[in-house]
Amino acid sequence: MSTTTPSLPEAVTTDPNRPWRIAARVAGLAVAASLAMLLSGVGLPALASRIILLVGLIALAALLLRGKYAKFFSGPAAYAATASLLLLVVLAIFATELAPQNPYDLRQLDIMDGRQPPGSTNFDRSMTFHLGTDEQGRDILSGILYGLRVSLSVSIAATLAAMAIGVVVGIYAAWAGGRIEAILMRIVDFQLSFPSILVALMLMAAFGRGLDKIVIALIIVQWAYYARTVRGTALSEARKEYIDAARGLGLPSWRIIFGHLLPNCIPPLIVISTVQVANTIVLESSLSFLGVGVPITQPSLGLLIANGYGYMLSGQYWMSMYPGVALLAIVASINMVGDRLRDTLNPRLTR
Amino acid sequence: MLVYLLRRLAQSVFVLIAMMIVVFFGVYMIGNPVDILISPDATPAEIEETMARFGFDQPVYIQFLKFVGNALQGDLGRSFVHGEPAVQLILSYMPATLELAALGLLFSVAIGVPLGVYAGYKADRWQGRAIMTGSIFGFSLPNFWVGMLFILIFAVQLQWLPSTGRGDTVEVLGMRLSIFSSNGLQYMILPALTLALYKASLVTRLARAGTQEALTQDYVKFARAKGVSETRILFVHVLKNIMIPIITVLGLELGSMIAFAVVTETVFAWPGMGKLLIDSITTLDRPVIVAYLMLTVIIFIVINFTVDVIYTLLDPRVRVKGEAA
Repeated sequence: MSTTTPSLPEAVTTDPNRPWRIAARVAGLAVAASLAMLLSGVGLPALASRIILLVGLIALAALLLRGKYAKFFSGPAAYAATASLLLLVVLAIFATELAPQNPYDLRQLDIMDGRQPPGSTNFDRSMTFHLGTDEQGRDILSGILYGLRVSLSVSIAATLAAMAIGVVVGIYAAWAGGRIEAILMRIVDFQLSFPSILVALMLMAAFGRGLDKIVIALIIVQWAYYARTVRGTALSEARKEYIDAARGLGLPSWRIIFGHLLPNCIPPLIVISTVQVANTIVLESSLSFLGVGVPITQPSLGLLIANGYGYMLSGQYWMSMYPGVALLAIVASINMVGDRLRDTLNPRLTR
Repeated sequence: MLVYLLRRLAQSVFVLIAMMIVVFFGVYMIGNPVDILISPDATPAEIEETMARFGFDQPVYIQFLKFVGNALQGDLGRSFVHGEPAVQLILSYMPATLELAALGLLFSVAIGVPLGVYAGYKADRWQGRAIMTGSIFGFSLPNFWVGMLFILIFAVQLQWLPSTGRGDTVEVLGMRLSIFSSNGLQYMILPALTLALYKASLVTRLARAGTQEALTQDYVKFARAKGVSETRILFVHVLKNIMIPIITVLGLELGSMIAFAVVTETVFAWPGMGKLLIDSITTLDRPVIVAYLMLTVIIFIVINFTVDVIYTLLDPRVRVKGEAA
């Protein structure tokens, strides 16, 4: 990531990191633009947007690790985790293209195919259900691909938004100090004294099911955590010389905060938020499993597991087992990649 | 000291009042309170009676005072489904949750401490690393997924243990507990293990860090010089010294056990508070949801207050910092 150094104007042009910084911004912009096109349904065809999204994400990851590949890929586990995370992300992004059927298009479903074990075919043998079907004749594999997309996008969206709110509150608290800081941090302490699953459960009980509602609930339970972390970082960064230098140059405080303080508070958050995405996936799937998460029309992995759970005791394990394996794979690979990221980018933070 | 405690108590009371305001306005302002506190199939007479009891015809501040007054007397409405007062209903489900949490804590110590001590002893060997990698899984695996796997393996495939439900209970001190009957205990093992897994990973990490530190201390060197066996050093000398922080943290985590129990109880159909909450959410039994919320808030405020007080007694630095702030 870019680090703002207290350099003089003529030194900026010779900054060796400049091309990389520009590349990172282009990649970030490409990711944002492709996501916007996918969500709004205008602009480039969906497949093109998805390819841009994937390439942009890979480019961002590569830029993040620039010059530290050897440290990151320190063992076979790092390769395995990266490969499996990449595979799962590709599956989630291209779920529409890769899935054998659209599991939520009722015209493609036949109730006669319900609860078929893995490997069975449908009545005219035109399609094989590699991982079996659920009670409505829905292909489990297709359900998993779509569910993976829901789980990942809900968690990433909630984590990013919570991070943004947390960063603003944390930096504001650290910068303002005094009574404002005391009040904000009291609120943070208060919220963090309750387990996040309980808070999220209560919010969902009040809101009702829905994709937007679960994202909001997940933001509310997470922001305080970021606010506390960022305040700590911002307090220590604000004492450093480059902030004094910026003050000495007579920069207005908004420029010091957004141009100097904020960019230096972000890097430690990258590692935290990677692991936090995994935690959010777990939280979201738990809520969906309990029936207070995503709506039935857009099931995440947790809801798929819940749907098949009732049949498990009668030996029809595949309906909840395979979504469970997918959930385990995504959570484990994000956690392991996060672990490697921490060792690579932030050696000070040890377990 | 007394000043600090009083201030801390005042803060707790303030938090409780703040929560009451949040709940009151959440319930009363967003939805129609009549819908929330009165069953849809109540008779007109019942509606009249409840309306008068909660004072819905009065101005808002009087309503709030009445709500607080009723809440302080433990009256948060009647369950639509069970027809009992909501608070009493939850209290009658509480022993099941508490005994599950207690057994879960016991399991997490029984699993976590030996693993952690061993991992600390073999910190740089493959055994130590394998245990630490395993503890990552303990942290990251979703609770419900572990429970499901346990049911699939131990109840469906091997048929060693019952899958769901509670089993026999014995009346002890006016509470129905299954921990004292062998049949009931069988039903408890899988849910308690599931609940314990996350905490066991936490304990493993704490015990490992403690052991690594303790092994460099003089008393360990001295014991080795005396010729004490390694097993005895680890499980007598070191263990005694690392247990205090572990027990402190576990005490802190008791509250989150109750929260995690919501998921575990749903998976295993264990009739505790958490299952009651989920059932109430699905059946829109709102008085029970409100009562559960208020009760958990009180439990957490009490836990946090107790922990702070104990910390103050144990560590004078907290006290100084608290008085300076």
